[in-house]
Amino acid sequence: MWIVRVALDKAYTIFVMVICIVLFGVMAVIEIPRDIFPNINIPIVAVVFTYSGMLPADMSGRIVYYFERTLTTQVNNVKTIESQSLDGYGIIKIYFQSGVDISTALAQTTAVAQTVLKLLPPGITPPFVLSYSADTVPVIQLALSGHVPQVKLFDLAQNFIRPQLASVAGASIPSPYGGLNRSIMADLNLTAMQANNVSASEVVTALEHQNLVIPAGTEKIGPYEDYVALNASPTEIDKINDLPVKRVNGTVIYMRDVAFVHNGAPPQTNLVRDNGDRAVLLPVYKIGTASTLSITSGVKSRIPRLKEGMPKGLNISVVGDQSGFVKAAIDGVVSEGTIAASLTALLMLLFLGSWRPTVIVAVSIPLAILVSICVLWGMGDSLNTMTAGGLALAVGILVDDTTVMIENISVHLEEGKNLRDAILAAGKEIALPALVSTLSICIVFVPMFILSGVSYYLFTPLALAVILALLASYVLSRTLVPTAAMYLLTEKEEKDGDAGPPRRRSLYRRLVTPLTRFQQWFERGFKRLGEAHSRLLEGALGRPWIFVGAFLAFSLASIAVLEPWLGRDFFPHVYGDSIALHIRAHSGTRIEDTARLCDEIEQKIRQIIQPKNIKTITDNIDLPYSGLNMAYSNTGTIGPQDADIIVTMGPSHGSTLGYIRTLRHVLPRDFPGTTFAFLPADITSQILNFGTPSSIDLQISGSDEAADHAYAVKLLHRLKHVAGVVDARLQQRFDYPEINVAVDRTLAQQVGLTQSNVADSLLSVLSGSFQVKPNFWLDVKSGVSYPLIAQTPQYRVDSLSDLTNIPITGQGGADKQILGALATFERGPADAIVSHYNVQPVVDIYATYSGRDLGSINDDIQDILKQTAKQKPQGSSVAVRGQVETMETAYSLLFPGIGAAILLVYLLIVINFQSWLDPFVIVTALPAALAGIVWALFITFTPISVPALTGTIMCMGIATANSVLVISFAREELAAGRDAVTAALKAGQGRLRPVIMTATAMIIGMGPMSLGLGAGGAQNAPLGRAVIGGLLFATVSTLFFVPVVFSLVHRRDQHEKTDQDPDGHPA
Amino acid sequence: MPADTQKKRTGRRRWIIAAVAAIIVITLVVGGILIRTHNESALAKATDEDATPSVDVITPRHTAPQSVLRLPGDVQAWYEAPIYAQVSGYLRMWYKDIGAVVKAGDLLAVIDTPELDQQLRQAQAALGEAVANEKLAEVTAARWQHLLVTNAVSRQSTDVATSDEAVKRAAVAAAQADVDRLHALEAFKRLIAPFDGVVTVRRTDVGALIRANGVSDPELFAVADIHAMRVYVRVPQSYTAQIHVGMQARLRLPDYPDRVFAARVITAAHQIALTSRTMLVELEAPNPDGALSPGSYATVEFELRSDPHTLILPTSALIFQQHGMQVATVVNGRVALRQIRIGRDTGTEVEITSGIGPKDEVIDSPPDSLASGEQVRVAGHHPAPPNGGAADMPQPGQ
Repeated sequence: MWIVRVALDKAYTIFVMVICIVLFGVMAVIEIPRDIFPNINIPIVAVVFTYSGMLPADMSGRIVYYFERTLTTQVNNVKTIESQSLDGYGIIKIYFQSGVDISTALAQTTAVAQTVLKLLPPGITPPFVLSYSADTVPVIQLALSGHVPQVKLFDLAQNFIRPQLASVAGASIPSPYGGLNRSIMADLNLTAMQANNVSASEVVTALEHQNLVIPAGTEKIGPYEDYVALNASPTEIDKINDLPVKRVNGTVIYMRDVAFVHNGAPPQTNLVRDNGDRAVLLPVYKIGTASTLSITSGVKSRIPRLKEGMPKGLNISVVGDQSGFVKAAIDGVVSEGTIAASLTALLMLLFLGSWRPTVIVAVSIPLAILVSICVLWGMGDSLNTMTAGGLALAVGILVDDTTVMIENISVHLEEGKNLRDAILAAGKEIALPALVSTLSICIVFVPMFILSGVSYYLFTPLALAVILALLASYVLSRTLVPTAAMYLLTEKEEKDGDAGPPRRRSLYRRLVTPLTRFQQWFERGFKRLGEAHSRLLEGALGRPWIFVGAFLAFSLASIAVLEPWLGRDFFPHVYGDSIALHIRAHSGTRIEDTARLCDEIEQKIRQIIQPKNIKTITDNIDLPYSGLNMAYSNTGTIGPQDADIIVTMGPSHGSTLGYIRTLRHVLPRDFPGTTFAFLPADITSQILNFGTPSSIDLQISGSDEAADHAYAVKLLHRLKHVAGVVDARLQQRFDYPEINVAVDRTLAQQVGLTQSNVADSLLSVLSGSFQVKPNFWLDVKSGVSYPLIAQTPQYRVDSLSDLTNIPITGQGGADKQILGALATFERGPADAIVSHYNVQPVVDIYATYSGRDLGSINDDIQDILKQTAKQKPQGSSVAVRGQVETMETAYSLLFPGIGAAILLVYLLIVINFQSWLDPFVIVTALPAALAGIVWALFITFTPISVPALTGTIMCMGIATANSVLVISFAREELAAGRDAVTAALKAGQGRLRPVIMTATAMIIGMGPMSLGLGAGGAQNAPLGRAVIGGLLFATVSTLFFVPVVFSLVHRRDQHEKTDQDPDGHPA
Repeated sequence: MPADTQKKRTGRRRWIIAAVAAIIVITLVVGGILIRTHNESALAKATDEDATPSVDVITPRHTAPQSVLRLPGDVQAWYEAPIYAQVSGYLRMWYKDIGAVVKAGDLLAVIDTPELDQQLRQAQAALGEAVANEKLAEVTAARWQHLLVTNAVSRQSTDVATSDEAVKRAAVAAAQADVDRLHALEAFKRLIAPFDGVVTVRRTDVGALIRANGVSDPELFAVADIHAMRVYVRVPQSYTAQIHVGMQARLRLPDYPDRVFAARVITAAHQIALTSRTMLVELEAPNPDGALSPGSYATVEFELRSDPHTLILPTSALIFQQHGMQVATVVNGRVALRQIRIGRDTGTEVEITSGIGPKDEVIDSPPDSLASGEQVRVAGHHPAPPNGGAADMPQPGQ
């Protein structure tokens, strides 16, 4: 083995290598971004149209559809297009095929937006086009409250704090939630306008003509060139009141005669309260590859400086800070790994009985991990629960290469070779088997790379971390371990080798007598275990068929009986320290009433959760002021009847899940007519839900919306009765109250008015002039331009009579008319939201699950779909989306993947053994491993999940690697001329120690992880449990079953050999 | 023998161990499955229970919903007389300024009319001349009559003289009439208030030239009777049927934002104007304190009431379906959907013209997907909110 020789000859190279690993490793550990999950690089392009006052149906029909259709023809590699059309907003999200060049996609989308713009309703502005990825979630939110008016709060957040935070790398900050959007309001006085015969459009036109943003220029006078400035726009708000509107009979009518211009805000359409105080919420999203922790710390470090510039009495508080959870989760995994490594090292000390080889093991584990972290860092990955989990998982196997090497060196030392020869011989001997076992563990992880979507981005870094650590460990065991052995094992070991069992005679015996005693006791115990093993193995070898049959039967029966009871999840439930509750009152409930409802609900929450356990309750009612916010987050808010209530728990709260269960029971009973849904509150679930507000999304798509809705209602009724389904609700509301104003155009024409006069008057009264005739007023003091909006104050129009009495004025003195004279009014239902999926209208039933596994629920859902298939409207289709879809995809790839892994490992061993049969013997050990996994999950009530499957894959690898050792030993024995039974017995006995050692190391290493303690600990617990269960059974299988099968397989072999021997054909 | 027992013992021990292991395995399996089935059935029960929606029910209410018709109106004086000059001349003096309260016959102004005076004098002179001529003709005629009796003159000559006398008498009458006319005109030098009221216009001043050439010149004064006002409203055709004489209305004026004035419909034109499709309706508004001024703009509010026995439901109870409006009623804990027809809608409440009875329990804010026959849990029962329509009437000062 040349590399071992090189390592021994050029020890300094190895030391330098180690120093480099430590240096770069430490650097990597410090620098590597820390996050909850790996980057989920699924690019999404969102397009946000804003057109205030446009109803959802119009938004969908006139803007969104048009855009979507153009999109499909002009943008390449589109996977799906989803859109939401809401009151005044159209949000289109475009998902691309994997591997698409996102900048091209972005450019094409922007081009489409520009192309269609001319064909869209007048006055529309180009949409926001932004790109982000599936894991763009709010990582921290700043709540501004205090003795500052709401207008000021919003102004500060939007125009002063937001730009300051924009410099935090990776932070994306859309508009603030809540508050009042400072604007210059021209409150139209309808009576005065009618009395003066001034129409709303005349007021708006006057504003447009009198408040200009037009440059004047320069003039050269004598030797100088002077600026010429024009009083194009009043510098004081009050002066706008003095703008002339029109002249009638020599009398000039001023703005103040028909309107009152003042500093104000349009009617509040987004209300945020922090513990009941009006507040403004500034969410910070993670975007790009920056880590959650760096963003949150960046934001938090800027707060003190921000506070300096703020008015007195303003509180900036941090809400929904995910960094604590993320940090705790990573720390949890890291400490699990550290505990695992320490336990493993202790175990090694116990097995090896000497500190020197233990030191070598203890040094090589962190080095391998450092190499892995270093490479991960270089590849742009982060340290997260996945990669750290992978490393923690690897710890148990890492000892393998090193211990095998050291064990082997000792064996050779015992045979009396000198140290160098012993090392070389040992290196040569195990080079291939170690490589095979390392490769077989690596190969089993290959199927992880065929996953798609979220699962791919989540689990490949885990696989990568394991593979990297294993390869590093293999290389280290070829380089560092021999060198270190050369220096550390010295003559003493050699002497020990001469003087009987080497591990009993430590120089430090007197210092560590109790430990040594313990070690001796352990050795005695192990010896007894060995004897028992030999006895049992002999027994089994005596009745091989019965044993093999019984063992296989037990394994297969375990799998067959227990597996159906396990249930399937995508990812284990993780509960953080906050609760997010979405409420929806009766469609069209006004924001003030929703706020009152929220107050009552919050009071109830405070009754259920001890007030001392509540840090804050924040609520966010109605749609945000900016469409940008909706592109990023989707909590299912579609109008003023919706609110999100976020309860942030104090430090020592009870079980979040327990609270949620109680609230789920109590709230619907106490607040009839209101729909409640608990949203994913922590960063993990938010990412796993892919930005949707629920984990199950039953989506009915088809062109007949009414029939789809009726069908959805039927499905909803059935779904509500599926055990474990909670918060089932229809996302689309079709009963938003609408008043249809049908103008009699002929009548209007006869009295000298047109539809556009009516529309103008309605627009200025009901939604303000800003959309159609945008106008700005610059505050020269702060340098901020504020919108100038002409609108009738909402309190002036607050009944149906008020609507009918809206005066309609035409251009130039047509007779005074009121709306009621020209139009009829009819009440009808309207769409509160129109959603499309791939340019088809859809109805979504959102639901989540609790107390039961997602797989069984999905089975029930599929049953319901089958039973109701006949009622499904013609041409409609139903899809189950959300986590269910992700899970089904992941499973459909992982199960064949595990099969492929086994096949690959088999082929690898075929190469190794140059035989078809022996590798098959190894594969027969795997059902036992599977049975072990099933048992472990069964008795711990853990459903199968992707982490559990990862553990399964891991188990396959280790079980194979261990069996490879046994079989190669047995083959050597066989080659040495022993009969199959003896060879099997010898192999079983001979490999007992290393196999037990590896398995125990692994099991102990997984121990802390399997307990699932701490924040986010639940997510890797199934992995630990699967590995422990699988290894327990696999070890038994490796030590008993595999030798017995080997003996059976080679029994005839042996007969042939003895038969053929005289003929001179050696085996 | 001892070896045999040893073997037997180990054999038995093995069996015991195997049996214990088997029991543990079976217990684990059975236990695990039992716990799971139990959990599942408990969960199924809880899910079913939670799937039953809780609802609030209300009973419909009898009231007349009110709606308000608000129209622009013009306030005019009870009587209003513009006062023009009948005579040309110069204004000598005016005595009442705008805003002055006048009684009928009060002198408003006096016009200097030198030309008229001259004409009068001339006419008087002409009258004198005519009278003189008449006298002469009378004498002549008498004389000729006398002579005719004696046949001193011809009959012809006598007739000539008699006719001449008649002509001259007529000329006197004409001249007298001319003088009388000018005297009458002289009276117009004094502008007089025609009735009790307020001077609302004064468009002249001392020394102003006044020409009496008709309508092209503005009035000199206007006097308005404002003890009560007439308010003219153009009611759109669609509302005319609901407006009847004697109906009360309220006036709101921009100049008195906090005040509501009472008014009563006194007559209507009963004709729809072709150009605006409106009917002119006249209201009387008492004006004891003179707050209402002629020419004011007023918002006239008519309260349109309907049948006081209509059933009323808040709009939040309505369910909109493709096949019309429905409400969900609760009968024995189960939902029964009822097709309803609605009458008038005030925004917060609607009249239910058919479909439910006054005793029906109607679900308020029904969940988004109620099906007939579905079990519900009634959480609360309220009468329909009594002041649902209050928002309809904006309070003064808002």
